[in-house]
Amino acid sequence: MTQQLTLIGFHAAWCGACKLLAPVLTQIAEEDSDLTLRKVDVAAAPEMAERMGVTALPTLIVLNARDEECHRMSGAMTGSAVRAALKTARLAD
Amino acid sequence: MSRVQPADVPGNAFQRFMGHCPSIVEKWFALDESMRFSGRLDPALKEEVRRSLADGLGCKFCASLGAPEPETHDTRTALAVAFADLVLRNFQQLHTIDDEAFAVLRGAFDDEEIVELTIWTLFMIAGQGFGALMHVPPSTEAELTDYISWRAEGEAAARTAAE
Repeated sequence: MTQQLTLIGFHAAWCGACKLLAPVLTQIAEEDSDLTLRKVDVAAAPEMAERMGVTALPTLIVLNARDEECHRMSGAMTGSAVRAALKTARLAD
Repeated sequence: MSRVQPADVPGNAFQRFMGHCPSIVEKWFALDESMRFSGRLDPALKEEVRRSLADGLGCKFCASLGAPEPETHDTRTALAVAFADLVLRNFQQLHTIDDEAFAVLRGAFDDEEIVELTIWTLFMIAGQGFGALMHVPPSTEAELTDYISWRAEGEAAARTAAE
């Protein structure tokens, strides 16, 4: 069993890059039983986006099992980059 | 400072830099015009893709021809611009761009349009990459005016042809 991680994905309806990434994140979450994916629409939860310092979309924040932020990435990205970030987050903890 | 002196040929700064290779510059801009003003994709969508890539590539001349206007994007334009950005950011690992991203594109574009968008994106990266590498300076006011007129004429002709 690998370390439990939470991946928070901030997105918006108007964001093309978010649309391209959305099914990639779903696929990654399906592959990784130790990953919890939370998709957050910034229009529906602006205070959460502000509290977490989200200034670009999409933004992904990886939280470790203690709910500490251990990785953040934003902008257009591939599934390979997200998988690499999750691997790095697990190795670092 | 620019990397080479502009060639003594007609045209804007970009054309004069590329003008050291006259046989190439002629075909390059003929291809540019053909791709911009024909095909299935709206020329305005292609211009927005060009604009969005210009800053990321660091081509000052290209960026000076117009900033992206994200507030005007419809769904297709937002996806096209996002796809172009994805290609640019992953240029050294293009094979890693996900099938799922193409599946999203297929929800808004047919196969012919996806191929046209991909070709346009890569052509713009090549051309604007040239501008960035050569340090082509920002356009003058006259060059910008000429570019706007050229686009307007080409887009009007494209609309007429489509009717």
